[in-house]
Amino acid sequence: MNIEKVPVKGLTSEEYDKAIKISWQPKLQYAWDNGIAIGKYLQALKEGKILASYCNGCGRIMLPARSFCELCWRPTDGYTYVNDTGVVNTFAICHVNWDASRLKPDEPRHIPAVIEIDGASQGQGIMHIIGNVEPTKVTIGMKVRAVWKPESEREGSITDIKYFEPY
Amino acid sequence: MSFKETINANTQLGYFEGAIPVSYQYTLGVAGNKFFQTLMNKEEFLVSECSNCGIKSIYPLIYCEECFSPIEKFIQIGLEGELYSFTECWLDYQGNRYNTPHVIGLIRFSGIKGGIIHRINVNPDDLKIGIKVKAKLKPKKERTGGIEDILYFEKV
Amino acid sequence: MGLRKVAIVGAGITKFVRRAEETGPEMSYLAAKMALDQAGLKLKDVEMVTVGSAPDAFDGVHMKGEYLLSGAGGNNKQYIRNFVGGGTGVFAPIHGWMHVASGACDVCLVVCSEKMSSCHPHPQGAFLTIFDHTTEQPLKPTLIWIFALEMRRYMETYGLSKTDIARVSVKNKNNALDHPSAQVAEAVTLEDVLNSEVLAEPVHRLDISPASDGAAAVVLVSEDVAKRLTDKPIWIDGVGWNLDTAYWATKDLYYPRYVEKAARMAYEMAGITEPQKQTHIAEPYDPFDYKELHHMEGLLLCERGEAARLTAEGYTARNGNLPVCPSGGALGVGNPIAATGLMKVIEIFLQLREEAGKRQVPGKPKVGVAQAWGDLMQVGTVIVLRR
Repeated sequence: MNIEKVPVKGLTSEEYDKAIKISWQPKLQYAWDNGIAIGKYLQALKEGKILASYCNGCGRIMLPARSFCELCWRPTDGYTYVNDTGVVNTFAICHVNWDASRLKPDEPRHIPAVIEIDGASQGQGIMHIIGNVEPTKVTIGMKVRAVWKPESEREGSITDIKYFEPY
Repeated sequence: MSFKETINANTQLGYFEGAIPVSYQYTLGVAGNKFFQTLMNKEEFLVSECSNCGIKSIYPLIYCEECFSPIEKFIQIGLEGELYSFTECWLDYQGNRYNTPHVIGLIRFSGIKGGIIHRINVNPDDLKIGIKVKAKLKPKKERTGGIEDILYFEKV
Repeated sequence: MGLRKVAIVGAGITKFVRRAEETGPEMSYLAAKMALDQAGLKLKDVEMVTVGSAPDAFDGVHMKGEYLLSGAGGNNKQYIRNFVGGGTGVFAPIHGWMHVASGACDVCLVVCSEKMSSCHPHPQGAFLTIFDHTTEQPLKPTLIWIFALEMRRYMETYGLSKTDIARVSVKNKNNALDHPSAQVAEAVTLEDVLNSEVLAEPVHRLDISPASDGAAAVVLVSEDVAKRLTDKPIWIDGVGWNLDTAYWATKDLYYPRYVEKAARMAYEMAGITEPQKQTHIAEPYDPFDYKELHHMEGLLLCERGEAARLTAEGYTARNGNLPVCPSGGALGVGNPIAATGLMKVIEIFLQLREEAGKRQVPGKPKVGVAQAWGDLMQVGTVIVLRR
């Protein structure tokens, strides 16, 4: 039996705007517990450093810091600082915001990237933003370093690093 | 094997704050639209009736939950019902305390499956399970098509 | 494995639209009723129901499974919701398969529904919270970032151009012109896709599937029931699923290893040793056009890096050697997350029964594979169907 006619018509934008709708603005606010490892990771960011965890089982130095190794299924053995430099694994040049609204023509483009951090194990990357460079000049394999906020402005957040810039 | 470190004083607990910043606009649905338009414009509650098994439902549906037949019959039943149960709320939904309690009730309608939950505005001396209650609506021009078009249910 | 044979005997689907008046339960009903009618069954014949629906944050209804219950035929039945992000649409029938294959029941209804239009300012905003709340969300990421990052890595690894990838969007959007549920079917050309607005380089607007409302359903039954109901049961021959780490930035994004693992599990169950030769039709998940290529390779339907070349040669067209997304996929039909995967399963079901109308691929296909994907580049769900 071929399916030829299907139900549901859909509303045009005009019909949708005119339709009765119930609005709800939820106040969904959270205070997420850090856990010990992320607590230390954020504290290190406040001090201008990047903290990783290491596991003696698989030998990985992992980012972000974590309390247990998910491959060996055992607690990690300790923490170690890694460099605040890295290599661009991949990147994008984005013209939209998180809510799909477009960036204005004079606003700088967002350049998210996966950056493999020097000192961590092969492939251990974190997501962050690339800055202080023409978007068209960014390449995979480019060496970048963190540009930190001044000490007084750091709060213990991934945004304590303003962006990564080429060097 | 448990973790090697623990935090034993909750003053040492760290946390990170954030929010989920989306908002919502809900369409009423095909049946919901019929119900709230009828309430807004004709000042009556609408129920659906399954032609196959005879079950009547409020809020109305376009399908029968019991036999899964499509429903095309909708009947107006006025604004009167019976108080099936009620409670006095002292806390709002965020845990803040009211000065005077808000009375909330479940109103049912004879011969009809389902019910409406709403505010009850009845003298405490008269407040009993089983009393007849009737919806009091907002003035016509203030209605927008929603459950708030009903101000409260009061004793008949 | 000691498991019973399970067949799909009926399917139902709504139109996929940007904004529906119907609520989630109403859409679920319309799809479920169509599936039951097609199977020749009534609601009282259904013993168990499984519902797949992606984040509650789209519809804006907490405990969405319970909310959809009455429309999905679940009143007073063994009813459970399953959810693995975008992988839900193919996992839902796998979940249903478990109900029947295990012997727990003979008739299981599978329903998938999504109403993304409730989420404002745009359903994309709900994806903000799939990123880690502490280490990633403060950067205000959008879902497009993660796709653009993966797409660039894939292109760089194999030296592909945007044209190579845009061909998939052209194929699927054109294929969808023949699908009754299609939301964004369009006779687009390569130029249309490449000239469309750039959202996040290298991703253009026409490289992406839309946000949608929609529902789909299938009826799964045991062998005895199947033989009573139809002379064209379509058997679920293999199922597979696999999830990868949430530390997505530590993986090699150019290859979906979790899709390969899920595919191997399904192929082994189905006795398929050479997927390239033994599969006749495929519906991999295609929320972005490069994903179809990515997933074709993960499904072992071609060598790594070869999917783009095969597409350019017409290998994956409806009249090609291995038709891929003959339905029009998410890119052409629409992407109400959970319902999309089930739409793909339904496409294989119809194609194997030679009931796909204008979309029918030639050659009487016998074996088809449908796949869905989701989360933070994490889940692969695969199902192999056989006539």
